Amino acid sequence: MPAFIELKGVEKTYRPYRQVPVEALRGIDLTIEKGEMIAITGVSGSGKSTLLHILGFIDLPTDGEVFFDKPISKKMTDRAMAKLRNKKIGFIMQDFALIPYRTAYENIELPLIFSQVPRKERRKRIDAVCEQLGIVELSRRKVSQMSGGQKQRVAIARALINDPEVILADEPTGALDRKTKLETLELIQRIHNEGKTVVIVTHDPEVANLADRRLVIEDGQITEEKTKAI
Amino acid sequence: MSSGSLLFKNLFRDWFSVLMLIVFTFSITESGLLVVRGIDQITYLTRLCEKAGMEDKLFYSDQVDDGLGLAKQASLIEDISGVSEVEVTETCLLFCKKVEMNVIYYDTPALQNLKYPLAEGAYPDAEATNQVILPYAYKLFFKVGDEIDVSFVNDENWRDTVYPSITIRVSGFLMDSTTLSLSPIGARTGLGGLFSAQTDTGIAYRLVDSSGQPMQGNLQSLFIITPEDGADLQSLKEKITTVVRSKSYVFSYRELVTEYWKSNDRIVSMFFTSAVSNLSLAFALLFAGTYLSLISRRKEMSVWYLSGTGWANSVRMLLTPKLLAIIVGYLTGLFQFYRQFGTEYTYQIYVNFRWSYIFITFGIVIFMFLAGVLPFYIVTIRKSPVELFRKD
Repeated sequence: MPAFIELKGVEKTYRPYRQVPVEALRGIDLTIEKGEMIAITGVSGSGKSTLLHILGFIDLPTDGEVFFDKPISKKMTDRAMAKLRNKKIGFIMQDFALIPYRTAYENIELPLIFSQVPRKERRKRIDAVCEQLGIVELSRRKVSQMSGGQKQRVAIARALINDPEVILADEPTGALDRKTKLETLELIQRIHNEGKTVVIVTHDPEVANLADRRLVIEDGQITEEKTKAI
Repeated sequence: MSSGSLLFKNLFRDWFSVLMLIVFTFSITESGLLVVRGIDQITYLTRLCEKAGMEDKLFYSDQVDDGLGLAKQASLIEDISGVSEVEVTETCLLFCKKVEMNVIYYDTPALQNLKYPLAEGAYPDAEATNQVILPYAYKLFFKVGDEIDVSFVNDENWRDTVYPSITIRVSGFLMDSTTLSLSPIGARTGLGGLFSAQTDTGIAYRLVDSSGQPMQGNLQSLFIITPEDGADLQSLKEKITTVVRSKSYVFSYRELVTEYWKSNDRIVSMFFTSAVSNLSLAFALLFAGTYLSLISRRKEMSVWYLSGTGWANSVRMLLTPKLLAIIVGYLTGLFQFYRQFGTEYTYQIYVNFRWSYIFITFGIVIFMFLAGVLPFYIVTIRKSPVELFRKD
């Protein structure tokens, strides 16, 4: 039986206009099982975010095969990628990826709007997720008026709102103080314990230690793989 | 996959540029319609005249105001070799209890060829008598087929207390309510006066009294001269000049049209200036607004993209309020213009409507939208949104 997510010989080369091409990923082979938590580490520019973008259908590989429940075409349309991002994946980003002049409610609502969930149902689901993450009192507040920890909770609420199978987190604690970092990690751990597949890109060994498996990327290649001792 | 609620939020977010765009599109539509209507109205009569074969004719406008002398002038011109026919125009006043009507006789061959488009009804048969075609505004009082008892007034009987009565039949209504003025051309009216719009005058065919005798109207001192086939217009004009008493008032059709264009030059250039400046302002606003939106709201677009919509759709969602603003501005401009139907807008341009005006102005507005937005749209959707998620 094939794995839940599988990458075979994935390559990604950026070709900036009038500049030397950059090989961000070089022959990545990776298998992710359902419910697994993986940390991807590496120095800046090693290709870990690019790998996350390919796993999250933000970008397509230049070469290689991607399997996500089913084989993914290399010439996938913008719309098909959007549908997968909307239904299957929740993102937690270092800069939170929230619209600052909108309220928490409006930010969390976005994936539901794009999946055409009726207004009443949207309200019900947003109330439930806010309750679950303890941000009910924040829901009508504008993101620009929130602290870093509050923003990250809103971002996590948005990542969870469509009940995706995979959560992709890119340096989720990079912009947070220690206390908020620990709270955020606790939340991510809770999400993982509820059965979600989680992939975290991080520099932080403390964050990486949470994962079942830790991958190290150097120059666009996976150079090391460590599995957590049970 | 865009949503109505997001669209409204976008509209409110961009409210200032949306409002400005509505105002400028409104102005473009108004001035565009004015230019199109103005050009149509200004060229309307010359186009009809050319269709009726007036280009081959000469015109003489007698400057001496004596009715008897006109007949003599006409016969002098008729005697010149190369002249086939001399037609003198006639007018009269008809009135009933409801309203009065100025009409021009269109019984002469040159004028019978002149067919103004009708809003309703049809031109009468050649044998039918006492037929009139009225300006559009008279639809308020009559309908096609109405037979009306009217009093007939001309220069001879206007001092009387009782006027001869005739029964006229309404054969149709003019679509544009404008006819050739056919009044004498002179220093007072300008040489282009022949084509100036006459908006309250109807057309009469074969007016006769109860015994079948023609009703003589007021002779107008404007002669339409038809040359014989193959006659040289210039030499004929010179010959006519030698016999008539107002020697400076013999003109070819081309000369009159040229004078008419000269007299309208200022208005036409003013229309164009106003339309071009409005268009430039709206275009600049749209161009700069689109650029600024795409720069300042990249973050928002990246969040939409991450939340599950396509990149092209994210860009479209940002640009849709601009399209809506343009449509609202256009429809408001159209409605405002339509509301003034039949009234004088400015510089004797009477508001009227044709589908062609709507198509042309809509084309201009859409062109402005495409020129102001499409280049940015294409460039943006071709750029990969991945750039927006880079941390370094």
